[in-house]
Amino acid sequence: MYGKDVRLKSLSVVHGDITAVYPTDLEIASGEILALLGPSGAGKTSLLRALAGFLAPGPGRVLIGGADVTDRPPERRPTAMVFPGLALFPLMSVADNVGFGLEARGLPRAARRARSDDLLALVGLTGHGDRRPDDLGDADRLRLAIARALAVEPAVLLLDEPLAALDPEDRRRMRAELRAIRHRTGVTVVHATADRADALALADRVAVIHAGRLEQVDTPDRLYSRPATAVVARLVGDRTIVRGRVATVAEARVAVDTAIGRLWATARGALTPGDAVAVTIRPERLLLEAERGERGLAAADTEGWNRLTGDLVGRTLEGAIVAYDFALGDVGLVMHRPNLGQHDLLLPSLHAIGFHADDATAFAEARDGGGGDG
Amino acid sequence: MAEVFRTYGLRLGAVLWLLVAIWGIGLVAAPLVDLAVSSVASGERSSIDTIAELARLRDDLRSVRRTWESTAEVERRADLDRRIRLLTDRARRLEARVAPPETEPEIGHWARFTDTEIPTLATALGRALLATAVSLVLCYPVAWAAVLASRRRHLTLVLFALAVPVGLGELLRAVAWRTTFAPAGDLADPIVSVMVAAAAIQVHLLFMVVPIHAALARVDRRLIEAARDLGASTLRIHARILLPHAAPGLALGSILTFALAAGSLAVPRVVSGEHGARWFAPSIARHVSETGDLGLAAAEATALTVACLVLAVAALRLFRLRLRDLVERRRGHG
Repeated sequence: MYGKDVRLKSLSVVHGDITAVYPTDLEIASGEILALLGPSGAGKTSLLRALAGFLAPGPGRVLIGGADVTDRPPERRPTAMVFPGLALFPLMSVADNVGFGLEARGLPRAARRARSDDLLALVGLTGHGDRRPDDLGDADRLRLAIARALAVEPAVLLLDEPLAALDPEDRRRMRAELRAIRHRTGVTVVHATADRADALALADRVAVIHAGRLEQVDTPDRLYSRPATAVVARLVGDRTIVRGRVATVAEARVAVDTAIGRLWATARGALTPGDAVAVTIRPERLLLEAERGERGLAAADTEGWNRLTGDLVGRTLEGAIVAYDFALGDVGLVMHRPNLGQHDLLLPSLHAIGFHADDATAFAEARDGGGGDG
Repeated sequence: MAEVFRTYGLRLGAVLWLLVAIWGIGLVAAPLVDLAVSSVASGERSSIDTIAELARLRDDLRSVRRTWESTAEVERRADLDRRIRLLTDRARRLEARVAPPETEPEIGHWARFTDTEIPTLATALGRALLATAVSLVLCYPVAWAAVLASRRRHLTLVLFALAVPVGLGELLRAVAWRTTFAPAGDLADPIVSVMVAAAAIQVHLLFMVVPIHAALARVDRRLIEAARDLGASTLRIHARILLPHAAPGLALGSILTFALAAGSLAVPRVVSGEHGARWFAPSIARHVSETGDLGLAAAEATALTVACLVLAVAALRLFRLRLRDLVERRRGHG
C-alpha cells in the first residue's frame, strides 16, 4: 500500500510564450483514480509531465504526501509514469525492464529478480520474464509498462493515454485490471485520456481539462448528469447543441428561444433573459413522442416537455445502440436508441420527438465562445 | 531477388541488378582477387627505369613507323625496316621482364613480406587500433552533444564544425599537425608514432562521430525519460540505454576509423617527414611507384585488407552485433 495524496497549488505550465496549463488547484486523495479528460492539446500531458517533474517548475507548487516536490527532478519524485507508446526498453528482457528501477536504486540482482517476478505475477505476466518487450502483444506490453512503473513503489502512478493503442476488448479488460491493481497496491493513479468511456468507466473522479483550464472535477456520475459547462457536456457525451437566447427564467428552469422554437431546459449557472446560451441535449434522452409514457420523469412532468417534429435523415449503427440524425430546418438533433433488431428500426420520414427540460442544459455562451459541436 | 523485380518492374529491376553486379564483381571482388593473385605471382622485379625505358622504346617505334609510312624510297625503307625490327626486339625483351609470362605461383613475395614488412604492419595496426580506441572515447560525448544540440536546433553548427576538417583535405590537415608539433622525427620513436595516431584521430573524427550520432539520434527520447523517471542517473542511462542502442554506430565508426587510419598515406608521411615511409601505406606506395616491387606491394595490400576485415568482424563481436544490425534499426532480439 504505497499511495499518497497529491495537491496542486495554482500550478501552471508555460512553454515559451504559450500557456499549456493555467494556474490550477487540484487535490487527489491517496489511492484515488483521477482521470484527466480532455481533447488532444488540452493540457493533459503537460499537467502529467509537470507532476512527474519533466517540465521546469513554473509558479505554483506540487505536494505529494504533504511534501513539496516542485523543485525535485523526475528521478527524485515518488511518481512513476506510463508513457504514450509505453517506452519499454527494447534491448532488455521483460524481467530487466521491470527490474530497471530497482537496479537504479542499487538492489542486488537476486532481490531484483524476486521482486520483478512478484510484479509480473501481479499484472499477469508470470513466465514471460525472459522474453523481449517486442515479442509481447499490445495488452501485455501495457501490463509490462505498469509493472515496470510499480517496481519502484511509487506514491503516484501517472498514465498518459495508456489504452489508446488497444482494441476494444483489451481496453475493457485493462480497465478492470487497472482498478484491481490499484486495489491491491493502493497507489494513487492519475490517468490522462481523450476517451470519455475510459474516463467514466475507470476513474473515481474525472477532471475535465480544456484549453489549459480545469472545467469541472467530479465523480463520473455527477459529471455526466450535471455538467458544469458546455465543454464538459460535449466531452461526456452530449452530441446536440442548439444556440439561442433566454426568454424567461423560472428558478432552475429557463425558456430559450431558438431556431427550432422555444425550448425548456435546465439552467447551469445564473442566467437572465436576453443571455446568449447553448442548449445541449442528451442523445439517449431524446425520445419518440409515442414512447414518452414509458420514461418515468418525462411522463410525470408535462410542464417541462419539449415537443418537436423532426425529419429522420440518417441512421448509424454503433453496435449496442443506433444513432439517428433528425433535421429540424438547419438544426440537427441526435437520438440514441438501443439496438433491438431490424423490426425496431425507425424509417426515414417525419417523426414526433421530444425531450424533457431536465435532460437538456442551458449554458451561458460567454464561457465557451468559439465552441462548435464536436 | 524476386522482390526487386516486384517493386521496380522487370526493366528497372534488371538495370538495378546489373549495376549491383558491376559494382560487386568489377569494383569489389575483381581488384581483391587480382591483389591476392599478384602477391603470389612469380617474376623478375621490374624497376621504374625498365618501365620508363619501355615507354621510350614504344614512342620511338611509333615515330619510326610514321616515317616508314610517309617514305617512298626503297633503300630508306629497308633501313627503317631494320630499325623497327631492332626496336621491336628490345621492347619484347623488356616487356618480358616487366610482365613475366604465366608461370607457377610462388610465395617469394610473402617470404620477403614476413622478413621485412611485419614490424611496419604491426606498428601501423597498433597505432590504428589506438587511434580507433581513442576516437571511440572522444567521439561518443561529441555525438551525444550533437544529438542534444539537434534538439535545441544547433545541429547545423555542430555538424559544420565537424565537417570543416574534412573539407580541408587529408594533406592540409596533416600539414597543420606538422606545424603544431614540428619538428617531427623517426616513426620508430614512440612519441612520433603516437603523434601520427593522434593526427589520424583528428583527420578521421567525422567518420566516427557521424555513425554514432546517427545511432543515438534514433533512440526514442521517451526511453531516456522513462529511465530517469525510474530513478536512473545520467551515467546509468548512458550505460544501460544509450550505449546499447549506439552499438551499431560505435561498431561502424570503429571499422571506418580503423581502416582509414591503418591505410593512411599522407598523414604519416607529412607528420614524420621522410621516415613516414616506415608506416604501412606509404611503404606500399613506395614499392609501387619507386622500387616497382609490385609483388611485395600486393602482398602488403592483401595483408592490410585481411587485417581490416578481421578487425571488422572483431568489432561486430565486441558489440554483439550481426552485420545487418549496422543498416537496420535495431530490434530487441539481439
